[in-house]
Amino acid sequence: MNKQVIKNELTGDEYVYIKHKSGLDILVWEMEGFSTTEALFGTKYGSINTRFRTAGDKEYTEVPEGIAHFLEHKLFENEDCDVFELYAKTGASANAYTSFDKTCYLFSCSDNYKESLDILLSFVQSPYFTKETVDKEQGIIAQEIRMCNDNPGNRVFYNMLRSLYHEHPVKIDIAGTVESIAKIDADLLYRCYNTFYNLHNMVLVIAGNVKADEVIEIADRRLRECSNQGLETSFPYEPETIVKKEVTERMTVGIPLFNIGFKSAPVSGYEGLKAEMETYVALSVMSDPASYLYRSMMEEGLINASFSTEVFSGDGYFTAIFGGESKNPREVMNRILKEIDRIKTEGMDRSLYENIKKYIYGSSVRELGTPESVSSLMINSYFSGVSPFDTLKVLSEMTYDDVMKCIMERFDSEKAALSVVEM
Amino acid sequence: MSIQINREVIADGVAFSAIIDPKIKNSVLKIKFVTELSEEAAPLNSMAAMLIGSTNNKIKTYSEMSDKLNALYGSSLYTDTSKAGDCQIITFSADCIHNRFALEGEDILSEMLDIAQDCIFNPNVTDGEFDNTEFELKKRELIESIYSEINNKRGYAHMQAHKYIFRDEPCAFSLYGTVENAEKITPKQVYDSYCTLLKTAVIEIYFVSSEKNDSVKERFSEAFSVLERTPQEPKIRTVSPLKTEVCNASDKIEMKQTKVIMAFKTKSDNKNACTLASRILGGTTFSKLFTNVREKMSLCYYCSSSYVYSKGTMLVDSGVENENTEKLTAEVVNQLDAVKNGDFTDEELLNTKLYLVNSVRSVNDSPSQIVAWYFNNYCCGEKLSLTPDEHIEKLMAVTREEVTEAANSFELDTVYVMEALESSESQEEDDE
Repeated sequence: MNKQVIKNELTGDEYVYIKHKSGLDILVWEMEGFSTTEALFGTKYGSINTRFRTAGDKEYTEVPEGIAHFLEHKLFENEDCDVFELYAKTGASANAYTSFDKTCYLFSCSDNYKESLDILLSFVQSPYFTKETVDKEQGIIAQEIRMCNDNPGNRVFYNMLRSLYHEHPVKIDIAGTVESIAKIDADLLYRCYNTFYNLHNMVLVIAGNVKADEVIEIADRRLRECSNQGLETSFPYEPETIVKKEVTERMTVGIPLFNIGFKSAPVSGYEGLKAEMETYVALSVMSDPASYLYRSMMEEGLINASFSTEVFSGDGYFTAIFGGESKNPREVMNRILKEIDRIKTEGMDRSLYENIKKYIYGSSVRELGTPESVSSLMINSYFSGVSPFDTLKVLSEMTYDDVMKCIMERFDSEKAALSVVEM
Repeated sequence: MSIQINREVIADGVAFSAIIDPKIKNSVLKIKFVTELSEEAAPLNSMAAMLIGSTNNKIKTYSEMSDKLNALYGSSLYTDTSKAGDCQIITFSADCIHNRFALEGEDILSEMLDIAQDCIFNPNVTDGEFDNTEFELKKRELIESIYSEINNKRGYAHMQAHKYIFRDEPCAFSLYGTVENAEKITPKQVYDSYCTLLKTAVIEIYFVSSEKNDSVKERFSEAFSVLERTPQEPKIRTVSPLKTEVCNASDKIEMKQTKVIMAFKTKSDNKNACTLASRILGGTTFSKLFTNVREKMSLCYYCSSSYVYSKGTMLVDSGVENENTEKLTAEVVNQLDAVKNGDFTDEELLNTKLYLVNSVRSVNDSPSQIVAWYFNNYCCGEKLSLTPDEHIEKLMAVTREEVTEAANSFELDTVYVMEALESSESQEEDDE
């Protein structure tokens, strides 16, 4: 077992990194004075991982859309009881979520964290799927899918992804469809579980009221050593071009919603974080209430306070997004494209750029402030292959020219799509 | 590293609570105006909140304000309005990181407090009315907020249900009003309404920081000392009367999933017992509704209950297939009957208490939760200084007899169904 303390001089924060003998990486961030403990046990397995093989396989296995999410639901059922009943005895609040590229099981508690950690490590390592329990879950998840389909924000986002990506599975709904989940059975769930829930593909992060040595003691007792099985995931070839420039869906909304996405080359690791942060600064310089674009569109009634931006990136995809509500989304798209052209020739407002960087620095300091935000920062950084302190490092090294280069490369009008949901 | 709280009355109907928490990295200021909820004044107050939260008489546009706040390391300034019983709460918040993180030695806190103080006492007003340009922008924002209420189907179903559940009670009124009404609002009306709020609202101010700083309290004492105040103590808790007959109401909307909201009312004053009864029914992942309606019957993804003490009302909320609506409502009634009959184990009761204790203990881990805790004491008519630990002691002492008695006091008042109408046409279009 290898144990290292990782420190940040600027904020005075530190965490412990443990390479556990079982193959699992463990990150513990002790936060003095806090009552809460936040723990996340995650696997690098999300909705995009529909095609994979391990060292012994010749061929890739393809599985139905939505299976990672389905598996997350089913893991809460042990052979003899429901996992929530176990947590009930400790008082912890437990949950789980599946995103595009990871599945995480979590608990939050202010007492008995050792008992809750014991439960977390045990149940995630004890799958139990039968035909009956799988059939029962279909109804629950079908309702979750229908609920999400009534959410226009969700629809406008996925429609945008489907306009940008030809083949990459990022374009499929995390929960799949009512039809795709009907194809899931216990055998398929075991196949996915045994592939992705290998400790070498997972991480445990804990922040708040916790002691690293106590975590190690529980890990020693609960984690079963496993061998690295050489997992390979594969994605279909994704062209650089987009599928179509515009898509509209009709549903019950008061004001039309829009998402405008700019597709660009995916990057990973530290370079990926740099690209994400440069794009975030670029988007903020264009869309902050202090910017020309925001001010002019607001004054003309083209946007409202819901106008916002996001960098959406992961394994094989990278998209800069503008979103919000507008009575005229097509005009918003025109304005954004014009503003990008203007910035490409005239440059960014330097003072706005400097202030945006200060804003991001302040947000990064705040992110280190509560067990909840710290645990979430740790797991996201880990799966992105960077340190939780790298955000501050990237920011301190970032230059005006870096962001201008990013705007030149990542905001191409030929790779932009507009998605609208309206009545 | 314990948290210290000191609440002082600094003007007529104005209290300042200084909260020191050495572990936090930021400072948080919250000013809560409490006033009676009225159909006419609520939208005006909401507009006033939007205006004081974005500009002041020195920083006259939201663009300038945003630039200034970015330069102060992402300090934030925002307002929101909410309901507590039959009252409207307008909350003004400001938040900044501690000065020790400033990269160029700036006094972030003082600058942020200056801005906040100007927003409250020196708003963006000329000749007795809010600045017209900013006013028009916010008016459109208000109108668009009303239009987009329907975008969030679950929230919209609640808003519609409240009109039936709390018929003829102030809390049924919308905080934003109607589009028709919003169109007619003038900048003078909004400023007059804000002046009334400053004069008559009960005001609770909270300042949470990592060290003692008396100057913040002094700022507000001074600023309020020149105002003529005639505070009107509002009554937050007004128990909603049970209807003589159960109200069955419904609407139809083009969407995929039907939303069901049921309201049960009680006259009981035993807050903790009613909370526990509601939690045992549907307020945890091991509750009766979760384990039966979701897990055993697979009827829905969510089905939960929550108890609103200020109105003596328990709300059950779910989303189902249209044809399962009656099955769902019947099962909710069955499960409540089970709690009424004491059909829960001592362990279920203990675990539900532990679940609540867990969330109460975490209050001290975030400035906004600390503020929410002490303000909630005020809203519930509790001892203002009641700490999370003191509350836990009371909660743990509740007996199963008290819980069954509380459960038995709930009676069905309203069943609201927002029925899903599936659209027949193909919905996605390519506009290439």
